[in-house]
Amino acid sequence: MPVSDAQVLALRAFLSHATDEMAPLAYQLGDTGITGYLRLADTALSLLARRRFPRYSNADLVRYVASVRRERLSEGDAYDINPVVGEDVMRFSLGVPVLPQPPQDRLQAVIALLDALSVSELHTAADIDELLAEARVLGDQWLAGEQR
Amino acid sequence: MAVSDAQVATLRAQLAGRLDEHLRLLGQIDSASDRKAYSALVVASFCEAVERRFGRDGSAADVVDFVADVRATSNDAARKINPRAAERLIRGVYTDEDVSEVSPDQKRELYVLLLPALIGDEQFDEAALDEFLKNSRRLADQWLN
Repeated sequence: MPVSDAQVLALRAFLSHATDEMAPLAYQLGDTGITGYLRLADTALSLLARRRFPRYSNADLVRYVASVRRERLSEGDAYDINPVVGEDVMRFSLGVPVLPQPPQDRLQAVIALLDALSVSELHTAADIDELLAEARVLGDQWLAGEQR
Repeated sequence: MAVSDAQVATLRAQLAGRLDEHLRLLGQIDSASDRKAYSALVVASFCEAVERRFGRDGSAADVVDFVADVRATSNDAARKINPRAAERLIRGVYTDEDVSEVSPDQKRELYVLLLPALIGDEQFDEAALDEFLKNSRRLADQWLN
């Protein structure tokens, strides 16, 4: 199923840090829609990760994930993410194959990293719209590739 | 049971970066009681080094940064050092952090990998290193007795 307008709307709320809108929009997607939403989030993460790290070393990713954790720990231990999973999510987003990770840990890492990258890489509503348009096209291409 | 001069010399060689000498001396620690005393010295040194580095109120974020910096020194370090386990072990020295999920083998490896990094920034001269080891030895002897 291609990326829907509702999924794009929900991710726009997340990337805009519109916390009041985010939860109801994600809830309205239902079980089926949420899968596509997470795929779109993965695609957006991949695009942002490549912008942030056009070139990188392993040390860059280790330090970046640590910096994201440091920021989140200031909100409390519950906001921490698994660092090994976070580093693997970044590697995967940058095109490096990684072993499967525990789904819950992975989801938390994707949300945390997407949140952090959106703060540093997206400065205006137009930046968000541009990213979402690109992610939607790419998400549909990935889906078409999987269905072949 | 107490820590011996030879055991102190073994750890001293490692912390001074004389790895060939360290490995040669380590090979001479062969009885179970010697290994127990040497392990106590390493753990005591680790605790001593953590307290010097983080005091008693180092934040979780400070520890995250420290472990990340150590892991960022090489791909080998990044692979060998599990960040969560390392952070727990460090915070376990001065908080009630639960370290039960860190296996004994993992602890042994982490002590060895983290200890040189913990004291690395201190740039000990010979006298300061001796003082550090003297304090560690005193602590280890207390545990052994």
